[in-house]
Formats: sequence, C-alpha cells, structure tokens
Amino acid sequence: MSVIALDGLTKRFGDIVAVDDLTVQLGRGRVIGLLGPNGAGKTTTLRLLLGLVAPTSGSATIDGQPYRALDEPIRRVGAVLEATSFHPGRRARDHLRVLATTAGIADQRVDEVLAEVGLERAARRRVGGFSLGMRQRLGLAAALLGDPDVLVLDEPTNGLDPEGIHWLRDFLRAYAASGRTVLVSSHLLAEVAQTVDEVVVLTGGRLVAHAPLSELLRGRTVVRVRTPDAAALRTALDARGIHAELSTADLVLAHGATSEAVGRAIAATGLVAYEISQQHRDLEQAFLDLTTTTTGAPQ
Amino acid sequence: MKNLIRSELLKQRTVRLPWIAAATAAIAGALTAIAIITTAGHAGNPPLDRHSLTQLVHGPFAIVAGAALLLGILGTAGESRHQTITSTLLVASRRGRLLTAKVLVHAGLGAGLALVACAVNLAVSIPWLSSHDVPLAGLTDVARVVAGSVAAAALFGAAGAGLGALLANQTAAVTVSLVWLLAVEGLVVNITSTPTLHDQLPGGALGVIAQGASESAHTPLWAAAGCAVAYTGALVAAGTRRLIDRDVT
Repeated sequence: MSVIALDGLTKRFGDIVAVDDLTVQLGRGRVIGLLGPNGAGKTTTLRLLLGLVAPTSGSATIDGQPYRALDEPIRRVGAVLEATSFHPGRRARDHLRVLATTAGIADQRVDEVLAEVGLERAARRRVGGFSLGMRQRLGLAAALLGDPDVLVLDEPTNGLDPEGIHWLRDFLRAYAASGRTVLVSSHLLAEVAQTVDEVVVLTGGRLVAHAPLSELLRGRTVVRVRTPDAAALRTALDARGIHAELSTADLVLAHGATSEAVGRAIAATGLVAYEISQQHRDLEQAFLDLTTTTTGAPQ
Repeated sequence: MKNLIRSELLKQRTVRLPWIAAATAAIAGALTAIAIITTAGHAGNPPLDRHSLTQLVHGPFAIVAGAALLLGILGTAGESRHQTITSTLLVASRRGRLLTAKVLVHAGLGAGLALVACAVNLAVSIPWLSSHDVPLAGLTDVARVVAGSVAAAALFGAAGAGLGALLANQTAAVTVSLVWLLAVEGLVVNITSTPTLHDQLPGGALGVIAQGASESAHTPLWAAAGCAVAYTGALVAAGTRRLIDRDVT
C-alpha cells in the first residue's frame, strides 16, 4: 500500500498552473527524489501534501488521510521546507521545545535530535547567528522530533558543506532502510542520485517520469575505468555484452552499464583497475532530456 | 488545546519582546504615578483628592493597551514575518484551534501587563498619597478600575491576535490599528457630530471598560463591554477564517 498518494492534484495561482493533474503513489521504505528544474512545481507539490496550500482540485494524502486531518502530524510526517523559518531571537533548543510542546513531546527528545543532527553545542545559541547549514540541520532536527514514518525534505542540501551533504545522504539511506519513507526534492539529479531509489520528475507542474532510478538511467550511464590493461579490459567487457571504448591508452569508457557490473567484470578477468567512476554528466543529460521533452527548453 | 496554549506561552517566554513589554508596563505604572502626583495642583491640573487614586491607577492604561495590541499582532502576523508559520502549521495543522490558543494567550498577556502596571502604580501611589495625607479612594472603586484595565487590555491583546491573523502582515496590522485608534475614530465622531458614538467604537468602548464605568462616559459599562467583545470577536472570527483559507507559500 502506498504511503503517499497524489490523485489528480492540481493547484492554480490565478492564471498560473503550478501543479497540473499530478497522480502518483509512493511506497514505504524508499528514498524518493522529487526532481525538476526551478519552477517545476516541486515545492508547491510538497506544500500541497503537507496541507500548507489547498489544492484547486484533486487530493494529496498520507496513509489515506489529508495532512490536516492527521491527529498528531509531527509523529507521522517530519518536514523541512525552508531554512529560514525560525525566529532569529529564539535559541535553537527553545525553537524545538516550542514544537515539541505543541505535540506533547518531552524535552528529552529535543536534546536527542539536537545530538542526532550535530547541533548539541549550538543548542543554546540564538538562531539569528546560525549559518545556512546549521539552520538546515535545525530544520531536520525539528522534522525528526516526532520520530515520524515519513520525511519530506525540500532541497535539504542547500547550504550544507560537503561533510554535511555526505552525512545527510547516509542519514537518509539509513532512515529508509528502517522501513520508513523519504521524499526529497532537488533540481539536480546528480545531487540525489547517490541517495534515491526512485524518482518523480516534474516539469511545468506536470509529471514527466516516475520510475526507479536504475530504470531511468538505463542505457545512459558511462563508467570510466582507468587501467594499465585498457585494451584487454575493453575486450573483456565487450565479451560480456557491455559496450566499451578506449578513450585514452589507460582509460576505458563502458556505456550503459552500472559500476557494479563493470567492477564484477574486472574482478572476473583479474585485471588491475586504478579507478572506477560513474559519470554524472550523463545523469544530468538524462534529467535534461526528460525535462526538455515537454517544454522544449529547461525552465 | 492545553498543549497549544503551553506552546504559545513558551513562544512568548523564549523571545525578548514580551519581557520588554512587561518592563515597559512596570515603568509606565511608576512614571505615570510620579507624573500625575508631582504635577497635581499645577498648570491647571486638579489637586490631589479622594478620587486621585482611581485616576492614578488608570494612568498607564494607554501604554499597556498599546503594548498588548502590539504583542497580539506580532504573535500572529510575526509568524508570517519570520516564516515560523510553516513549522507552526506543520505541528498544529488545525488552524482554528491554533488561533484560539493564540487569542487566549495574548488575552492573558494583555491582562498580565495591565496587572503589572496597576500593581507598580499602586505601589508608588499609595505610600506617596498617604505620606501627603491625601485620603484614599475606596477599595471597591480602585478594584473596579484595575479590573476594567485588565479586561480591556485582555481584549486589546485578543483583538491584536485576530487582526494579525487577518492581515498576516505585521507592518500593515500595526499601521491599520494605529491609524484607526488615533485618527479614524475621532474623525467618525467629528463627521457624524455624534459624541456618544465614540464609546461604541472599538477604542472608545475599550476605554470605557478600562475606566471601570465612569460617570463621564456616555455609554453604560455593559453596553461598552458588549461593543468591545463584539468587535474583538468579529476580528478573531475574520482572522480565523483567513488563517484557515490561506495558502502558506
């Protein structure tokens, strides 16, 4: 059974159609990327799902109920929508205490989530002095307060340093591995490609793709292998049905294969490889192909 | 509802403005007492007499009312200003109940500010008047003014919360309320040439309540109270409707 269901969801702001007849069902225990260029309707879709914006038509439900009808929403869904929704004069811990008090959650949980996001040392500082990355972490702490089954994150890597992005990826993977659902929006496919299981791609407010990431990228990936035995590797890959070409004397490009398949092929042949990497340029190309098909140009 | 009220109270306790408002109320209570007593009998001001204590305790009301109104406005419209409305509504998704809690808390804050101002005012006034052998007004008269100030400040706080929710813009809400109270009500009375109308307009009606019924008022206390409650209720109802229907983008 789907945990998140959007059914004919439409939102108009005057003459502008922000979300157009969006129907999609998202299952449990997955990290789902909500992707699209700027203005594609990602944020509006999330706000519709969270009851912050009323749909013009259609519905958005979580476990079969609209968000506003949920009894204790913070215990069902945690959300990070913007890194600026804090009173600058309030201390970080107090911000979380306010939210926890509303939901009847003990202060002990506040300290737990602050530690979980690495903000325990800044807990008594006023939020006005926080960096964007710290605000993102505080927003995530707020989302985790109720230990929810569903996390909804809007561009959560904005403002995070590389260490923070790495931490967030690991965190989201572990969260989904425990049987819970993460819906994360981004305008960069490469940014979430290492995290998500499936993607929902929007452009102009319309659904243009909903598929597992592997299916979306099938035939579009290029795996780079740096090896002293480039010619032998190309032959070995060709023999396994993986189209490969020699780029330079020590570089093989394997098209339409995953790094796992290429790695297994290398191990089977006993060849030496100095480097195996999946090229992100093709991820972005796949994304651009999808988002420009409908509109003719990226938005 | 209990958790919502506790949360709204915590919001107020964890920022500086309500504490500044409380300090302002206390200072206003003391300064108005000092100003009225030291200028009594000079420059056309009436000398101190048996009725002075009721006038003294009513002295800080205008400042307290302004502070209560401002806190109410900032308590609701300020959520949009700082975008905390998003996190608030994610936790408290039933918007009508949320605004009810805010209105109750801001009514309580208004009442609290009035109590602080009256207490400080009396603490300064009573010993001073006694030391100058000025007879003190009866306890009932003083209590009526204190109760009136507390009730009116509570209504100002509630009305501020309703107005803030209705306009969702704190600058606009503060401007509208100031223009209304300082200009529009006076203009309406002048244009209609009906002085009795003043006590039935929002600011005038709350002023009558704050005096705890006065012989000089054109309108009985019960009528003024009815008008003030009706205006506050209408603002809160309109603010609730607006908050429920509003898209938080």
